[in-house]
Amino acid sequence: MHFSPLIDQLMDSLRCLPGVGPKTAQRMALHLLERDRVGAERLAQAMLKAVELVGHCEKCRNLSESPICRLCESSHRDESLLCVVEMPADVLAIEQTGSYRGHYFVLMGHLSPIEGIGPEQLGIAQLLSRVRNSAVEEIIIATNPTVEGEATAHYIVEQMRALPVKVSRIAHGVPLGGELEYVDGGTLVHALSGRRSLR
Amino acid sequence: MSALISEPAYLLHGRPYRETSILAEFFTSTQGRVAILARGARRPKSRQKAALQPFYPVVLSATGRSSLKTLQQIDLCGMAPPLAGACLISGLYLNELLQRLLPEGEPHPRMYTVYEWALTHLSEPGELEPVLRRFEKELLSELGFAVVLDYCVASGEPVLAEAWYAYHPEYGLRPVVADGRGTQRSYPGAALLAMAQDDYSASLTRKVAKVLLREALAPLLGDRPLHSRSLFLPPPVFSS
Repeated sequence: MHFSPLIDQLMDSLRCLPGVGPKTAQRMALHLLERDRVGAERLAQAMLKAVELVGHCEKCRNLSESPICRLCESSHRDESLLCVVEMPADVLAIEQTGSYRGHYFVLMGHLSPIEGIGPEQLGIAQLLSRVRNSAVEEIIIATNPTVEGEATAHYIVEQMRALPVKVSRIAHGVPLGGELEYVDGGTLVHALSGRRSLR
Repeated sequence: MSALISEPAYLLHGRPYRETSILAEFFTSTQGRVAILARGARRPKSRQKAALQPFYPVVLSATGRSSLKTLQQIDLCGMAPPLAGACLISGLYLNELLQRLLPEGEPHPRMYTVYEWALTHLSEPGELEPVLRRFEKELLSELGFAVVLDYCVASGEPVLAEAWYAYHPEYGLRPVVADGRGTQRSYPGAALLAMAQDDYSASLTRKVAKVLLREALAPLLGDRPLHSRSLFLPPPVFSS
């Protein structure tokens, strides 16, 4: 069934959101029009404003509406630590743990030759100049434990060879509350080779 | 193209598709390069995720009559070779070559064996370049563009160790009078003969093989460069 052109257009536009199919789009559109017109207006304005004003932080490349984001500006963070992650969602995940007090650098992806994503797209040159021109002492590479993530980590390490900083990689192994029986072989191999001595 | 049942394969590349799926390209032992959709593979509890990584030998089953198949089952059947650093990037290079040059759905069982051999030998010390060169050479001949190294195709004359030769993708090798300093790129016969024997022990042979095979691959790759090559560039030098 077809609604009037404007409603159809709204439904079509809502489908650009992840996880929203035709049925959900219809429910959302009808809800906004029937029950919550004020909310709809607020949503529209918030979206317009965000799209217009949000760019990338000049220091860490994370999404931010100011040239330097709040995390980079904060004076409570440890200047000597820099954590390199793939996506903004990774920054949120680490921040939620509350156990890291350093700064971040967001690559916005990983090296993927087949998709044509190389060092330029990831801002590796920007990362290098940031490390050179600041008080960073340790780089923690927290790219995902996938083949592309490992290749990215290796590339960064190679590029940093001439810089006097410590470079480390996050550990990976058995998840908290996990059972060895159900962990895949690759993870177990990493867990064993990266073991820690207890005494 | 038919369904795949318990087919040994390697993942060449996987990219996110929709919310929870992965659109994967596999190199299978009997059907060559095949595109397979792994539904739900990106869900947090998916058990397929660990098997959907490049370089891991897997056994998979997939259904579908079109060129895009749907993954039914996938199991790891061994460990990936310990690829790290430059070997890892070389592995990505092999994958990019296969992904770019193998036609979809065309069986290449011999190339599959060569790929398996290359993966297991890449990480051996000092073997990186010879393995890459042999892989490139085999891939060219598998695709019907074999580089003939021991005689000149046009004249039928054998290649002489002390002579110099120029290479043309269509006409193969042909002798040149210059001593390698002419306008055209030319290669010493001794290195070409060593390459024909897959003997890469001399550093000159390794250098010649790299340039020659790159020249032979260029027309097949067209004007889109191979991105994994740029990852081998040396790190920048900082003036302190």
